Amino acid sequence: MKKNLFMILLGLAVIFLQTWLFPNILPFRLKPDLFLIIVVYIGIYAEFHRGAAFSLLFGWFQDVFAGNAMGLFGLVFLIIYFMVRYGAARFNAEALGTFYYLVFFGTLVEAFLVCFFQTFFTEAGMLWYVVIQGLFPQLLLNMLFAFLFLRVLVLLQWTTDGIVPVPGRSFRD
Amino acid sequence: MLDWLRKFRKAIIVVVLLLSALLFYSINLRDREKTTLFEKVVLEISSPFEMAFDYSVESVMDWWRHYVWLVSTAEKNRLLEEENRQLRAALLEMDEIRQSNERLRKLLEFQEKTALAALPARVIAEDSSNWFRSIVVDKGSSDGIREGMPVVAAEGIVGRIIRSSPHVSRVLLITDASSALATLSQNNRARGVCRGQGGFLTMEFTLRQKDIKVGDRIVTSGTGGVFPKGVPVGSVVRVGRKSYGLFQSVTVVPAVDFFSLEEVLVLRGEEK
Repeated sequence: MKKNLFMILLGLAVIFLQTWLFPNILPFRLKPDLFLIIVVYIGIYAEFHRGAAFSLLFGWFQDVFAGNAMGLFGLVFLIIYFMVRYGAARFNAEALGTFYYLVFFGTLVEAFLVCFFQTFFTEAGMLWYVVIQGLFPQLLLNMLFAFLFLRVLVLLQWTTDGIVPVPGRSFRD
Repeated sequence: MLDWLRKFRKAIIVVVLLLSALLFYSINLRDREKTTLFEKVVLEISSPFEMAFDYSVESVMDWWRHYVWLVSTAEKNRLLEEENRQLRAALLEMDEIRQSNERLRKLLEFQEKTALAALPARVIAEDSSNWFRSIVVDKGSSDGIREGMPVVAAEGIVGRIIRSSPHVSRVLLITDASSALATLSQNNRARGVCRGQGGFLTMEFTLRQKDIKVGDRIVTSGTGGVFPKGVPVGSVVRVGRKSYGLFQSVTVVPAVDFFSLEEVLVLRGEEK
């Protein structure tokens, strides 16, 4: 129960960061995709059902504040979550490189899926052009924030006596 | 049968979840002009924080300018320097007030010009993704705002309301890729449809024999049923005419600077 509440509050905090803080402090009003980074993380470490449920919920949170089609990011994040789980079962998921690789790969998949669903299901106009234009800065930002996310996790690992798993570090490093 | 279900339990869950998410997405596409209960709840929960932070940043900046800054100067500099800085801080504040007044005055002038009743609103947040262009304003359905209402600024058209909860609303900007509005050139009345391209617009379906030039002002035509007629959309920065084809390609830079947008007017359907 506590874990679930924490995740919901985390989702709301991410919304605040994405919609208010980052556009105000980052140049060109760019923002990283924190929800994607979290989905990749829970894809590696969370229990199967809980991870799927929160990927869907975080996607819907993103939908409330992004674009004009409710359910798009819910579907996209759920697909990414299953892909990460599939990949994590085949690679050394706890290696640091794998996490960065999955965030990088996840960003590309997200961009492709958003374009795909919007183009095939709605009147998306030139969305692919907007996505391609912003893809490189988005990749850079996501990698940078994945690095910062891991720093925060390391701090959490210290304060929680090693309960929080961090890619690239054993539980009680 | 039970064994089979047990064996493929995970695969079945994956397929069911993906299909449910796809179904949810497609059902919502059919009712795009409606704000769901989930959206209303999340918008309402998050809006007090966004509003509080938005309003408090100005107070913090004020406090920083008036207190922290002056305390540090008092420690470092002589009385004259302190007075000088105090005056500069006051000037900055005056400038901020002047700019704010200027913006509000322009909005007021626009409000007087338009035939529709207008409701001023403040921009409190932005789209959470880099792929789409929308903003959140601090007025909602309890203020009479409904989905589909046009939103303008003193400089021109901003977008339209796509989601509305009791105290906040989301506005889809005209620069979003899924946004399209009926427009015409102010000079020669050539018609076209302006589509969002992220940072600029392209005017489509404009007949190639129409003489559109760089610098021409583009305004709303009023035929789309959402935006009133004659509101500035932007100005032409590039015209491309090929030797064949029915239409020309026109690039339009929006009249509104979306990076520095702070206040907007929501045009309500009824006449003033």
